[in-house]
Amino acid sequence: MNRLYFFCFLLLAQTAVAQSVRTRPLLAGVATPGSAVTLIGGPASTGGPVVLTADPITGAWASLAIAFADGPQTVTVVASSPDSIPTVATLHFSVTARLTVGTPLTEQPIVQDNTVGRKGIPYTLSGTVYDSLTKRPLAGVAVVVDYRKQLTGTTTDADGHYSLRLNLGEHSVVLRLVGYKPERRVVRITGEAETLDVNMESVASQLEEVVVTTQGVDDYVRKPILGVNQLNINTLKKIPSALGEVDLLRGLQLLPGVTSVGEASNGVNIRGGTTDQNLILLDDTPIFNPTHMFGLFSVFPPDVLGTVDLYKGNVPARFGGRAAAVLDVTLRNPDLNKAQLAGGISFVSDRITADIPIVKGKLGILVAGRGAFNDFLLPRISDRLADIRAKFGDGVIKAFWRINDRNTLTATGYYSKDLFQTGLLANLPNVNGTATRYDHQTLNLMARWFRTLSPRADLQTTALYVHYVPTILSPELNSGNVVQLRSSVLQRQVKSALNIALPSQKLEIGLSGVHYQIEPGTLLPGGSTQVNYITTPTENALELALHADYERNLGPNLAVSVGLRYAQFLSLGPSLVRQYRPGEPRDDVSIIDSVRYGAGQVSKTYGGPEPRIGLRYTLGPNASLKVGYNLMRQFLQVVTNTTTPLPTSRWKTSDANIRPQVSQLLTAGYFLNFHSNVYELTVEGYYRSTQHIIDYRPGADFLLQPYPETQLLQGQSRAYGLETMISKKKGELTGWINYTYARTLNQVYEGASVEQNVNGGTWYRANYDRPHTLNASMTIDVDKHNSFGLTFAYSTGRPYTAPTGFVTIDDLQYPYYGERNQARLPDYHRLDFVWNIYNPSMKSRRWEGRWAFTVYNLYGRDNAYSVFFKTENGRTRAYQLQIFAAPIASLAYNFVFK
Amino acid sequence: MHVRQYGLIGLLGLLLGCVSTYDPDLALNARLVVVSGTLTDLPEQQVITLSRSRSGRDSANVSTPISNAVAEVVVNGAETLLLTETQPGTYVLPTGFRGKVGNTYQLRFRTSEGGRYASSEEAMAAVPGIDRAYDQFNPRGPKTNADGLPIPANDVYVDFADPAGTRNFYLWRWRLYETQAWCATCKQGRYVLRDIGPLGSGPIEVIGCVPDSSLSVTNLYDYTCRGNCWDIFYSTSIDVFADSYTNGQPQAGHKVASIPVYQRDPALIVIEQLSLSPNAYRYYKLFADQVQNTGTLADAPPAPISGNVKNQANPAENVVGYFAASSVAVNRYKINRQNVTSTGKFQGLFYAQNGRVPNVEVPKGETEYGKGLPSALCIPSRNRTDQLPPGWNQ
Repeated sequence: MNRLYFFCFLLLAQTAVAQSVRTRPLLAGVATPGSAVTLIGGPASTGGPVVLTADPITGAWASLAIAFADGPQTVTVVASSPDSIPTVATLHFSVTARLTVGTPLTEQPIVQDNTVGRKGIPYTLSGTVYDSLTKRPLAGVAVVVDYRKQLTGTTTDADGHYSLRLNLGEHSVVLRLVGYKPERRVVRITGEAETLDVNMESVASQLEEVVVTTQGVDDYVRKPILGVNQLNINTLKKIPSALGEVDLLRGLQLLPGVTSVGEASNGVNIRGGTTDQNLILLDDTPIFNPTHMFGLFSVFPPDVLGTVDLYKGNVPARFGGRAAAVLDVTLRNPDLNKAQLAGGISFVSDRITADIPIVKGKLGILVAGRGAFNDFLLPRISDRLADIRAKFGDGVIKAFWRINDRNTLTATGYYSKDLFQTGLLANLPNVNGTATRYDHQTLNLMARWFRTLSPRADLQTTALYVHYVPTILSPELNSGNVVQLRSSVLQRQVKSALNIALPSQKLEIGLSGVHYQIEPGTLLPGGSTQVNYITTPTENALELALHADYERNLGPNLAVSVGLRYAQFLSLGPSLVRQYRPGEPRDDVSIIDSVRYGAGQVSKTYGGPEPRIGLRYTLGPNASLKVGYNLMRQFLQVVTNTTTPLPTSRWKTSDANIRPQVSQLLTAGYFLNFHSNVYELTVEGYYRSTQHIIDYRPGADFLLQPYPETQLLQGQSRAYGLETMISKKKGELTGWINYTYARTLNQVYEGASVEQNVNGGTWYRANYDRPHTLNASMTIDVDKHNSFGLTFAYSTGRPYTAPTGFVTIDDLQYPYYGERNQARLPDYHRLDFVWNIYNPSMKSRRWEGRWAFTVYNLYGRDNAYSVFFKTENGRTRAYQLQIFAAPIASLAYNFVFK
Repeated sequence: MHVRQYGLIGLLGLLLGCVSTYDPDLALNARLVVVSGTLTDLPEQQVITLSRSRSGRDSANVSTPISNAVAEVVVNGAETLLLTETQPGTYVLPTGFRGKVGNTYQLRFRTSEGGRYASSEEAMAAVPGIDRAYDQFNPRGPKTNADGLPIPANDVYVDFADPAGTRNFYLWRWRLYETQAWCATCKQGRYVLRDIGPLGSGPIEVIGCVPDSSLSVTNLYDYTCRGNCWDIFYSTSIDVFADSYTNGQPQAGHKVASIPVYQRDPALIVIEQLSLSPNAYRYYKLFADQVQNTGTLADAPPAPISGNVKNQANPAENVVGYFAASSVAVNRYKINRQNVTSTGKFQGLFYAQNGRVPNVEVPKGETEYGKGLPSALCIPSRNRTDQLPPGWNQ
């Protein structure tokens, strides 16, 4: 911005006593502080330019002793400073007898004669500022002209009125008031008094629209729970996204404590947990595979997201079954009054959403679909792409029925399907196939009955059904037949919760019952004569839980939240349970017994209390200290030995040989709102300890493995970290910046041999151990039609396993890996940019469009997703695999039709 | 649709990923005993090699043979066969020894420093024969490097019948005979060969490359072969298979090799189908996953591999390599390359090996050795033969 703003002249005159000499009229003005001011012409007595320096603080300058002759004068004033363009003003005035006799003129310019030009003469700009909805005049609105408050700024009076004096020309006027969206106007002063009345839009609704925070303005400071982030959907839509697909999981990774192993990671790691330690719920139904196209896009339909709550610290007792965190995503309810159609097109997918009120105010449905089927074009672009297939789709139907004042019924159906084939995934071993395809789908159904019992109590009862079916397909050579390896997870659940809200107390009690049925894998030969039908026994299990959450204020400063969940897990038959000799590797040799259980018989139970405690101590109106403790048990997990689970990775319930994971988390935090709740500062530290984490024996293979315990090892994990974040929640510029220091270390030792431990039983880095993380996100709402967003992400490279040596076998050289995860990838960093253009026609119509122009990885950083070593023709070479290694520009279009 | 196509170009980048070479800063520190040897029932010399691989700060890999070890193979836990060291680190079984299906074999050796090592007992399992070998032209064959482009190839497949009732584990290896037309290259010199007896039919005296300072130091002259000559290529990748999903079924279309189309001339591939023990299979599978099946979106973290040889005094010492006993079924298959349809340029074996076309000597006129251009001898080695490979004329 040009810093010269000196077109604001006061030409003052000061007289001397002597009448005969027309001396010392004062010529004065204001320029950029510290700039050089040169006066050319006029001062007859000096004969040359007069050079002055503007005051370094106020910018005022004055020429005290310049003699002018009588009559019209012209003075050119040039102000220059080293770092900007000089500005020039020419002043015309007349030195008159009246002046010389010395009437002190303090306010008025010497000359008001129109004949000598107009520059430097202010005109009046005035107007009234109203609330756009209530039409109430707004007092105290800051009116800033040309970005400089101190010179020409003013504030509105009690009647919302303001008045300013402005020079000729164009001026930018910005009006700001806390609680309102800033308004920008450009006014042209043409020589008459101008009126500018402005309606300001309240951000009462926008307060929650703003970036990441928890409920409302200062709830984050007040609530006795910590480690909770609420990611606003509108924020999510405004930040840059890869290929224009609004992506929840990528957005979450900009929050402290949420990381992943890289761009193609099938899930996120929260506070040192594995991806399967997060309970991901979509309208209360669990999501077993959160991404499409192997980690590139997340499965949450962006257009119908309602709220996103991430519990990474205190987890309410109503949630259970996973050890690390809960991501609770709800879909918005259908509009019961107005039909609406929305949709969009990006390079990746096409989307459509319809709100259909069926009985006005009573019953409505929401239908949304998204599909990516563009891969048929790939071979047309290049032969290289001929063997790539990637299609996905997801759809939602949600119905909301307000039965009467006391009862509502909500039902959600969600379906998602993926087909994926690439050379970047491993083949199905031991089947003679020409390629390997991944096909996975899920059907999630939920129905919830909500009954208000009294103004203070309500009862929610939910039933849900989730069927996740991943399949690996292997087409046979010269035959139309495809061999399939199909597995499935079926979860059925009923839960009910009673909520009672009393002044300064809140109580929730509930119960839940889950039935898991897992088909770990069935090989379906189809028409093949080569492959046998092979199936692994179906697993059945029950998880029963009771919970109570109680929140209470204890005096003005202290509040407490106490939760208790009691979970009981029952592994059910039919099953054949092996017993192994303790202390030996679990394999065919160490079996000492095996017991057969019939259908419905309980083969093993686990369970115990899961306390959840949160304490808040208020430090003044805007600050608080909080402490929390959590214990969670996990009975269902992914068993896989890859860096990130494949969609087809095996889900496994705990059983007699695989103990449930138990995680304890201790957190403490400081929370501060400042600058009228515009900014929020949070500092949280945590320590987490997990027992019975799962690791793998070298060469572990879970495909069609009836006894997975022979392939895995159990150990322990510890994670700790400090997360700091400042967010600006309101205003034209919103955003956040956070820095996290976090470590995750594992220890696995079941015996002395190489196959029974990792790194000899010492603590080693988890795959996602990334000590330093810095994320920043910024959104600038320029006006109603434009917003810009920038996000920056930096983190230490993740660990990988590098060879500790090479061996030569038969003249061919191979790597040797002596130690796990001892090396690190290069640091990861990336800058993304988005320009959102809303309703470019600028007319209010029923059709509103939005363009989003995104550049992902703006400066084209070659971030390594992985480093690997390959032996080619007897030589070992190191490679890095990059995903999104170049800047990727994309354009997406979205519309709403009301 | 245009805009979308550009988008797809972006998308393809994601799907293909993008692979480039990487320069890791490795902290190497390994000193390992390496054992290699597979006893077979083929009528050929049975060889075991013993070496030490050392990696350190100063060098990535130094392999030194373990000489003067006392090595023996114990058959069925009773009969002991002493091995003879023919070259440093190379130990051979007595001439005429052939493995037998059903026997067990154990390798034991004592190094000159006194370390005693022994393998597990490996039983030689039977292997079914290869019913059929055949090939298909694949215009997008293997990549020579992970960051390279696919090259046209003949994919070679085998069919075999997996025996019912037994667990079977397989390993394939092959060698390929390609006709070679160019037998010698002289750098700053000329190939000299003199007929002693009658021209073309009598004895000859081979002098080889004779330096010629009138030529540039970088000058290369290439000489055609005097007679038939074949270059031999060996499989370098590990191809294993277990019948866990396919027990007792006829197997069709197991790809054993992807042979780049170096030239349009026919080639002969000799495919060996080996039986493995379950442990040997596990070892080779894990080894293959760590050294060649890497670079996927979800690799398994590599881990130390332990073979079946242990230090008797220190079981914690990890010995690399596997002592295996395999029955072998051999199939010789002629790739006639009639199915090569690609428009790709196949500039011949010489071009594929050297990256240039042959440079024929400009004759200096008549010399003391006679006039005209000499042709070079095909000198047999591990990678070249002048003997007609069995199966070539079938």
